[in-house]
Amino acid sequence: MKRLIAGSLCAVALLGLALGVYLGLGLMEVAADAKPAAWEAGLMPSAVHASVQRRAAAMQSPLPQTDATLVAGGRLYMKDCVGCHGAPGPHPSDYGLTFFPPAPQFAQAGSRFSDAERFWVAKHGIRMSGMYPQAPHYSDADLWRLAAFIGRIGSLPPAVAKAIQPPASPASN
Amino acid sequence: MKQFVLGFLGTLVFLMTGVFGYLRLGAAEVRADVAAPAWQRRLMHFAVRASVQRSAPKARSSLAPTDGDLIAGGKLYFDGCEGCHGRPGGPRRKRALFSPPPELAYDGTPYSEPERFWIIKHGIRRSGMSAWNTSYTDQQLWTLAAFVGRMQDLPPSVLDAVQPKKR
Repeated sequence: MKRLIAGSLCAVALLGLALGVYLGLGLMEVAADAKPAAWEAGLMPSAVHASVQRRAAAMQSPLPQTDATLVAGGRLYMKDCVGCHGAPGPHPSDYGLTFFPPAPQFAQAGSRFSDAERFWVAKHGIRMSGMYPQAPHYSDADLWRLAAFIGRIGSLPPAVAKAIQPPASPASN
Repeated sequence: MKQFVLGFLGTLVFLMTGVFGYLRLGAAEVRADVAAPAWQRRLMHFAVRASVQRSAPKARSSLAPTDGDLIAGGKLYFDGCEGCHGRPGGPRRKRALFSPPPELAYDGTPYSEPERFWIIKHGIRRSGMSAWNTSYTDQQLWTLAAFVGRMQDLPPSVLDAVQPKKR
């Protein structure tokens, strides 16, 4: 029994030491433009999703699922989110991809989060990413509009897609 | 001896399962609007600093920053950095990002010029600091690094030249 405990303590001490060396000697990769390891790219998004699921699960959007809701959300999206998350259509945001983790490109990749989870993420932000909390800038109703819009961004009704475009200036197209 | 090995390996397996379970069950806190404990902030700053020190070029820039270079860097700063890192002479604001971006005009920076160059170029993982190497040339990045280092004691003529003009 004594040996068992000694072995256990040695394992803890060794891990602590290894962690100290890893962090203290600067062996942790911090460059945002280097690719993550495959295990990390697989594990971390699932961990974030699991945490969001646990906290957001019980909520329900109070808004009607109408085109008007999508248009209102789309206008907010085109103003404040598009810079990192990309516009509807085939082109990702180059700027969003310079972050680590990269900002999800909703129009191409979709979102595996539910409406309530998107609402929650937009409201509280995600730690250790470029996603900052939007609660100070938006009402809950606006956040639900955004969540609804992002859920449909890959398959918008044509009328909605048209209505959210910024008014064309005479010079363009 | 057998007991020792058993205790050692058992503990390793136990801890790894624990970490994996913690992540998969969604126990990790991900909200950006809840502040991190002080020990975590300190540990991470320390680890990031050590990593940047290891990776950044040792050589200084070929620029001996003239006022012209500072102005060029300052214009880039007002264009792309000021929104998160604050402006010289502007109000100090509390930013919502997690980790909070350094308020460079007030707090200065512990990083050397080549380290600043490297950070702007490559960004910092798991923070809101993106990699700017696709937007700026190395030369431009050096002018930015120089400007950030001098932000607290800019020559008045430089400060005047980089401020966006009021309309």
